[in-house]
Amino acid sequence: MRLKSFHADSLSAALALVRETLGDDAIIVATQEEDESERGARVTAAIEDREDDGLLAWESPDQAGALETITEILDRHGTPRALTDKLVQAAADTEEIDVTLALAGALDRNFTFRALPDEPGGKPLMLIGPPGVGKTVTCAKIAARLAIAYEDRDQDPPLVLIAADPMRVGAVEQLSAYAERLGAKLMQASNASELSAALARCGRREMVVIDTPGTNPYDLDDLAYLIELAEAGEMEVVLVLGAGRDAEEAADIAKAFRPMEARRLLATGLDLSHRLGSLLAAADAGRLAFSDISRSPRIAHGLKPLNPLSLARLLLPDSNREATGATERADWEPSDRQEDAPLPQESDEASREEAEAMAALRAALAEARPRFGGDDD
Amino acid sequence: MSSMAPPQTGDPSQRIIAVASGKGGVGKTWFAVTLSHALTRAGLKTLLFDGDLGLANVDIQLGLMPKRDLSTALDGKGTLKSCITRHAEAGFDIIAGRSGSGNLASLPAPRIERLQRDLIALAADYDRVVVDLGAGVDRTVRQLATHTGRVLLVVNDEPTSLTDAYAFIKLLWAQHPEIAIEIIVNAADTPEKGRKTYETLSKACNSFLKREPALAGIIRRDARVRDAIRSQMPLLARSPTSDAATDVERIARSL
Repeated sequence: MRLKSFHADSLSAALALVRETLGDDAIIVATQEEDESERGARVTAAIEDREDDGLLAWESPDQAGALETITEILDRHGTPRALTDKLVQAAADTEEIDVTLALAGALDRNFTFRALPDEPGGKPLMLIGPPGVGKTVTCAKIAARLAIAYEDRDQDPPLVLIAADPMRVGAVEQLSAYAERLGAKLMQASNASELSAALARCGRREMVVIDTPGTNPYDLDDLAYLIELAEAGEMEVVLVLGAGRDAEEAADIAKAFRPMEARRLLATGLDLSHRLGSLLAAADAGRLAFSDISRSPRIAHGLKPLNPLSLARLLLPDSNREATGATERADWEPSDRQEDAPLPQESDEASREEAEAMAALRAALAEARPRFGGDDD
Repeated sequence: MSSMAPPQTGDPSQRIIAVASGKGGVGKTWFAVTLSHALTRAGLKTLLFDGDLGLANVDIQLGLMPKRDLSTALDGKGTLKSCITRHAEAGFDIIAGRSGSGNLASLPAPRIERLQRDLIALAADYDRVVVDLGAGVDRTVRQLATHTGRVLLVVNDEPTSLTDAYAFIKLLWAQHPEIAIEIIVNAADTPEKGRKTYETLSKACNSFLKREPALAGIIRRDARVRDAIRSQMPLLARSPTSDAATDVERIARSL
């Protein structure tokens, strides 16, 4: 609405001015005839602007519902409030009414996603993290993925596992058993100079994965040792964290590991933990990209790369996923166990191939597993 | 206090009075503070909630230095109830906002809804809850205006105040036609001129929206209002017999 006053010698002249200027749609909201302050007559007219209607664009009730759901879900995951607020605000900005897509959009805006390489030839990967999060098993899983890809090629996979964990009893033996099964080379390094020497012996076309000791990042000696290792050569540091901690705690740990300059966060233990606020908090606090997740202590079950959509689906309870019309749910929803579900972007054929390959590997590992399989480290 | 008027039963949200203004600078916060004081003086147990999330200043007007404010509850570090500060002299409770922290104004809708639910629950302990809304018509303001007993919209005779008030009414009724919006004309030169200001707005609403807000009251222009604000004292404590004080007390009695 616009308000405009018109002044003229007489009331009728002022009214004529209103019609002339604003047209027939204008209404007279006030008139004032001659008084002590002003001669003549003053008329105030109002006209409704078409543009006003643009103001009526409230958030659609549907999006309000989606935002409510997302807030509830993030709260249930134990996400710190400030992060929840940031994500819900980003979800609102997507103007998406579908819960999954709105959440995926928010995750995309607030986090980066960088899956682990599945081809040899990149920088050596160094897995770091607190004790007991599954670093050794994760090493084996990364190696297994490449081993599967090379299964048909009559040659050993170009794969080197380096055990840089001299402290833990059985650590080298465990990795060694995996290496043997997977046809990978195993090297040992008990300090930075040995690691440097080991790296020098690796070929450029090999995938190199380095297992490190479980590290308490608040212990400066522990951390210093890890930093020395990381400086032994050019490498890509991956922080491995178990899901299911207290979110603030996880954020503190991720911050404490910042001197390591890890770029990726690999989350383990998603079979046991269904509250994932700690991972969101850790990635946020440690400025880490989400890479892959592990949902099983079994090597054959592998790693799943994360993208905004798959992370959104992980966060959403089943009921919301079902309520979501826009997902291609029928194509990928698992029949019984979620961990067997291929990621949505994979084609059926690829997932069948993967399932067959996994079955073959499962058989191959059947012997090794009783000794090491149930232990996620 | 509550011996005169025991807390009512029924939906506590109906005890909430939201104070809005389309445009800033028309005396909204001053009116919310003074209304709370007047309600208290009328024997009603009253809570003043500073819902001006972007630019809170109830505590500044009252010269309070609250130890806790709304951010305690919004950050999840305490309940809404734990944020209450008592204004000892005026005798009503206050939940102060946090001035100048822009991120509060852009709180996501579900967070505002939760805050609102907590506030309604808290309203059960009071006879009246006065909510000082932010100026303007943004999402947060509109959302906090819902689930209330009534919305008092403060205007003055400036054309921009009237057009902004009109936009507020149009937007709120488009989404929530059930909300009772009533007009407070502030700083009127005379009661007659105040009524004219109200009629200007109501005629526009009638013509364009086919519906008009009621008039809740007219407050005369009064130099003592400014003096009270400058001295960070409630008007009803400093100048209880002034024109503006009399007018607000009349409005409080009529609610």
